[in-house]
Amino acid sequence: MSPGARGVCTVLLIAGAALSVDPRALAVAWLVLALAAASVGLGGVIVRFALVFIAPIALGALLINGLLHAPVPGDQWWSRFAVAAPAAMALSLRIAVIAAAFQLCFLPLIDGGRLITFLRTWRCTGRALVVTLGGVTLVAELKLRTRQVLESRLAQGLGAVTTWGALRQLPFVLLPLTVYMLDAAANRSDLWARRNLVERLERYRPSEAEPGFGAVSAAALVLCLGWLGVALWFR
Amino acid sequence: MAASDRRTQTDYLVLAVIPVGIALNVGLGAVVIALRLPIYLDAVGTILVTALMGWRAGIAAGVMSFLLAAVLVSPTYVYFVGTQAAIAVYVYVVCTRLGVLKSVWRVVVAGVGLGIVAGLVSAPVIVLVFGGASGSGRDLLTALLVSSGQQVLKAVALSGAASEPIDKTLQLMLAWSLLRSLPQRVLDRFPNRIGRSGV
Repeated sequence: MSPGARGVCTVLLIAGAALSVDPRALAVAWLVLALAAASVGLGGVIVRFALVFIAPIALGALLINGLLHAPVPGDQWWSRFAVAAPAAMALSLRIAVIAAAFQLCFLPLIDGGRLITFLRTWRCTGRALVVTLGGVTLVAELKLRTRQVLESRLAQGLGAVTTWGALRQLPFVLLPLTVYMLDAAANRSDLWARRNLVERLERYRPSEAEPGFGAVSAAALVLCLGWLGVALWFR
Repeated sequence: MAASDRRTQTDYLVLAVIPVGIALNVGLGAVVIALRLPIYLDAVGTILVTALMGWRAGIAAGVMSFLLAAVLVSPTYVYFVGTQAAIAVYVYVVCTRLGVLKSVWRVVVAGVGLGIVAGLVSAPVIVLVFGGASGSGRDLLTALLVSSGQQVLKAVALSGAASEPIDKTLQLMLAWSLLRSLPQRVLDRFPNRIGRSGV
């Protein structure tokens, strides 16, 4: 999909989800997005996110919305939660659809290294581009270094058993990571200044050809426009 | 070194340090999960960058880290970029005006204040976007307050102000202990850091 179409599709999907109030329409949209994600190998991410993040929010929303409704005299105690259920479902499904759209749009870019093309298409250039690319690169590096530090401490018999023990270990785990990263950042800044990185990045052309606006982009745009129409229709 | 060269050098230092803050905010989640800790650690990078490079860099690190976390961890992070900006401004103000980094007690008091600020700034977002639910144990406190007749916004703000200070105090103390433990060789690379006398 072309970077331009990818960005527009994400905006349309998010706008549709934000406008939609019907839980059925939102559920169908989430299912379609989950299937699309599964086709590019991201189905697990979408489903895991729904279970880990959305399910607790749905429960919390049901609890709080239910308590906002006064119980009907003579009715069962749970009737107030039954009244609140559609609103709580719409709310959590809306977040799930927005999340799925976000993940489907951006995760393939980061994993596939096509982020720079996408960002430049959407006018993220100069310093913002340097910071974004630096952040993406350093997060992966920090995770690797964290694993190394934790494994080396475990090998020395310094693994934490209790939560309090783990909490006390935190500064000792973080210090080598922070020192390394700040030192490396200072050295990197010298190098960037000497090589004038911001200007060089402006002139950089990726070796991989930018995907053009093809049938996939057109189909995705039509689907997303259709979703926006459905969301407006059901309001 | 000419003044323009020094400025370029500082500009590039800011550009190189902001990604460190982003990585710390986003990547420390891995440490939390590995150590099975009941805290978030999502603002240590913002606090460190603010202390080392000032509030503008702190806001950039906080906002960018939550935009990136929205892609890598959970898209719900994107709604809380304002909280990160508020954290950077608060840390800058208390460090420069109140000299918070000079003693552990000041850090604890400032941490409690930081938690209250973060809780209050997050409250409207939690109400508007999530209907008052945050998906954590804090929801029970919110539900209790709602059932006692409080408005949702007030209930969320109060539950946030009650639960956030513990997490934020720990984060501010952690950032402070890291700053104090940094070797002088590393600290010397950041001549414009705030609270130099305390760190």
